[in-house]
Amino acid sequence: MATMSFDEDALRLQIPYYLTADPARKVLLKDLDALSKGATAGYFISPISDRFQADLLQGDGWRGLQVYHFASGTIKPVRGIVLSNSCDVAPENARALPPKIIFAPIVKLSNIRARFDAAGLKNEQIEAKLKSIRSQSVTSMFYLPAENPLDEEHVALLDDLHSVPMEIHRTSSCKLFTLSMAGFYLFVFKLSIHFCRLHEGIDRTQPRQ
Amino acid sequence: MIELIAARPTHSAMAWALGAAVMATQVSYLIRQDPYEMDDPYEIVSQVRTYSRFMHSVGHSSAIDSIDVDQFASQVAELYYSFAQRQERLGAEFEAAIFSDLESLYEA
Repeated sequence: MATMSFDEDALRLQIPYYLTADPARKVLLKDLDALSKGATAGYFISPISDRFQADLLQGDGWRGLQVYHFASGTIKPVRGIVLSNSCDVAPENARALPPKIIFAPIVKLSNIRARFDAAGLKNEQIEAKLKSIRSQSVTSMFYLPAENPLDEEHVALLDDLHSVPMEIHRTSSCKLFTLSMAGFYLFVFKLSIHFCRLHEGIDRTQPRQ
Repeated sequence: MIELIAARPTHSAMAWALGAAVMATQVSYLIRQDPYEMDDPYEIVSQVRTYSRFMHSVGHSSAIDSIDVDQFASQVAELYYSFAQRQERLGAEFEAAIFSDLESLYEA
């Protein structure tokens, strides 16, 4: 089992693929650059060549994740993208407490477009916003293009997070997609920007008046 | 799983980007100001260089060519910086349209 820290030994385990394989490193940078500028091809590992179909990885899309609806007390199966770190939910890693999988539901962009229309927003505003969403410029959303295996465009809502126990996930979910290397990096970029803004504009050193 | 982790680092990905950016003093963070009250609610603020254990490890690794590491880190940091600069909020009206009835948007 690998542990996650950033000492030299851990680095040798985790980084050599990038740092020693120069062509692969260049491909990653090129693909990441393209995706970060709005390209829509290359987000996913092709289902044909996806060797992670049985694995649970950060950035995975799954069908059958469970959302608890507090108002009605019901549970609803949804499509979602995994935010949990791959190692934290890896079955090989022993832990004292059973893990939960953190995920964000993914919804169809066409349905969001319909909501914008229904809200009476101007068409040019909507088009501009959709363009921002597609270029990954909206911090609270991660855009997923219509590319095999997704039949149409989706977005992950990063302000709408849920968790499901691992044992429930095992029995009720099936995998939709695995992000490519560049797609995964872009996803982590997005998470870091959305959730890890150190400058919150609040001086915590000041005592209560 | 070790092979998997080697091929798809997870914790390291963010640390790599952030650590590299910090090392290069290039990273910026977005400040969220009073919501919905400003035309540009995000402000890019440059950061001063800070210590990074991760980049310290990278910089002192004898097994990896530090020049390649620095170059790669710099390139990733540049991408991250450029990406972060382009971020914007969804906007109050658009958020309201989505979150007024979120559950009905879910796909089974």
